[in-house]
Amino acid sequence: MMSATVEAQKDYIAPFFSYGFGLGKTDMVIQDEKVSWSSTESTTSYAISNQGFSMGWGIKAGLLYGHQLSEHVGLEFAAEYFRSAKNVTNEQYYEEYSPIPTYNMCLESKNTYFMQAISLTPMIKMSAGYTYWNPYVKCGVIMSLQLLKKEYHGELANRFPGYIPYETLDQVNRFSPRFNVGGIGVFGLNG
Amino acid sequence: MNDRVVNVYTEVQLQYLSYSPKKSTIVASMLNDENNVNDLASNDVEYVDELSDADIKDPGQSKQLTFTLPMSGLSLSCGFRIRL
Repeated sequence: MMSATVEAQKDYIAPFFSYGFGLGKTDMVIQDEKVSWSSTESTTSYAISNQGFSMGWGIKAGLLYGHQLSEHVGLEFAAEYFRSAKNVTNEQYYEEYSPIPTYNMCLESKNTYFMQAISLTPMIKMSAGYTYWNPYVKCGVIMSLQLLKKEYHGELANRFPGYIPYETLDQVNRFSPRFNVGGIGVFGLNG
Repeated sequence: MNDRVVNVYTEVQLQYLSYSPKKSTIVASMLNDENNVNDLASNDVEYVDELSDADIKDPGQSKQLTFTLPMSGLSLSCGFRIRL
């Protein structure tokens, strides 16, 4: 009974909350090298781990406005706020010199990425028109303003003569806000 | 029937979106070493370092800015609709 009433309605609003499971992984350049020179007998190794993350993980909340054009077709506009999960990459960089280890050094760092976005999403909605458990599909365009932040923590250890043997560096980076356009497809069910 | 109708819904959303940064700004930075472990204040450094577009095109300075972060995802959503 409730569904039948809703199908007849012309305009509606809907506060919503969703959780996103990220798809795809970053194409950040990954270096994993190990270089040796026999003349200097030095070895350099570099490794990065947990690099394959998606910023699609996170929560979304917003408000949707809909207008039903006919029994089967409607238009919707969603405004939402997205807050990503924190994604961490770890890097290790080592230089080893043999047989004199004076210039050995080790740098370990952790980068934590965090994103926030606000989006406007116009969509067209097509529903089956059933009275109960009415299925529908929607497709639309996402217009999103995104802001990325990175927290860096690095630890450097070395034996350089006269140099500080151990130090840490903490930085906060903000990346330029970007406006991007994407797509969205939805399958839903009205209760 | 009620004038004000509320009904619940649930959705699965597939979204395609990405983010490619162009510029990075260091908004806070703190260097800390063992020799000055009790004097951290003197080592606090705060500055802003903005890379210009020219810098970004320089591979030597822009490696960390050449990545694309995917924001695509599969979302589960639930909510309720209120008739106006």
